[in-house]
Amino acid sequence: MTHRLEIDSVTLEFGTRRLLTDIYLECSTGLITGLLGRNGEGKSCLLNIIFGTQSSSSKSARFDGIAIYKAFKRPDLLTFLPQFSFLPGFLSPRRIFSDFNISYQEFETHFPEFNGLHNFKIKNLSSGNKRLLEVYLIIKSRAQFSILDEPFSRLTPLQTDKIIDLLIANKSAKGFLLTDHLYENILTVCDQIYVLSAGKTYFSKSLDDIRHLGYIK
Amino acid sequence: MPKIIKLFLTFYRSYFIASFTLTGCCAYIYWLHGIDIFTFIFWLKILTLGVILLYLNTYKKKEFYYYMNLGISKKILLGTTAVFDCFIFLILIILVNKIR
Repeated sequence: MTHRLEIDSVTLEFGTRRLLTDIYLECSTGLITGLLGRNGEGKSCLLNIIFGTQSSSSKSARFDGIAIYKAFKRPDLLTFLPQFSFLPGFLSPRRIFSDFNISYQEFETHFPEFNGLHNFKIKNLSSGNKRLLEVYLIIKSRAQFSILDEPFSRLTPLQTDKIIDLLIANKSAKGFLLTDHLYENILTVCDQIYVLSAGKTYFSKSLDDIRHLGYIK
Repeated sequence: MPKIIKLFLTFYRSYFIASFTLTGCCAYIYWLHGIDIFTFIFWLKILTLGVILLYLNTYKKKEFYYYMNLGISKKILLGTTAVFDCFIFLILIILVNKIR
């Protein structure tokens, strides 16, 4: 069964500045959706609004037509990778994988550099390895949809390729919404792209559209 | 142990040492002065707990995403562990009162 996540009627203002005004995004399970936009356009704010951790003047986020205002209370529907590290430093990878009900052995087969690190404290891992762990957890989390804010930052090219493969392998079971400034990766992995510009989202059909909206030259 | 309790305890662990030290100080003051000082140490405990929670809300806010991705909101996490912390405080004061 295909599930749908729709977001519209989002309004976000900071003082007199209207950051988001005319938003429409549609994601489905089986598809990877990309969101591109220049710095300060409000991408991360929009993703936080969808997750329910940022308040806005108005919003409508619907899962299969049902409005959910605080999606963070429903990990079966939506999980979120913020752009910063969110794992408690005193926990071990083994404990974290157990909390998320995800197999650590499977993770080790994808990323052998983690062999023997299952009891390490997160705070002792490098920032790249920490990021890799977080991206993997959110991709494999048992939600209908996952939002990933800058999943490719701090990853090596080899790790990025493996994450792209994982996203493609897991999209049959869930829908992904990604944003990242490494737009070549977004263009490679995504089935559909939206561009956020001047507070509005534009469905992009080609590279020319993205160019026309001023995101790339 | 149910997963949700394990998660609450994991979060509580991040401020247990600071909070239990303050609870211990309150219990010691109670040991010295008895019931007359209870109102003072009660409000001292509430105030210091408030400061700890404010610190967590400011400097550990990124970690809340870990718990939110597992279905526990920030308010529930802070509220539940604060109530549990007050419960430990009261138990300790009752014990001191019996021994004294």
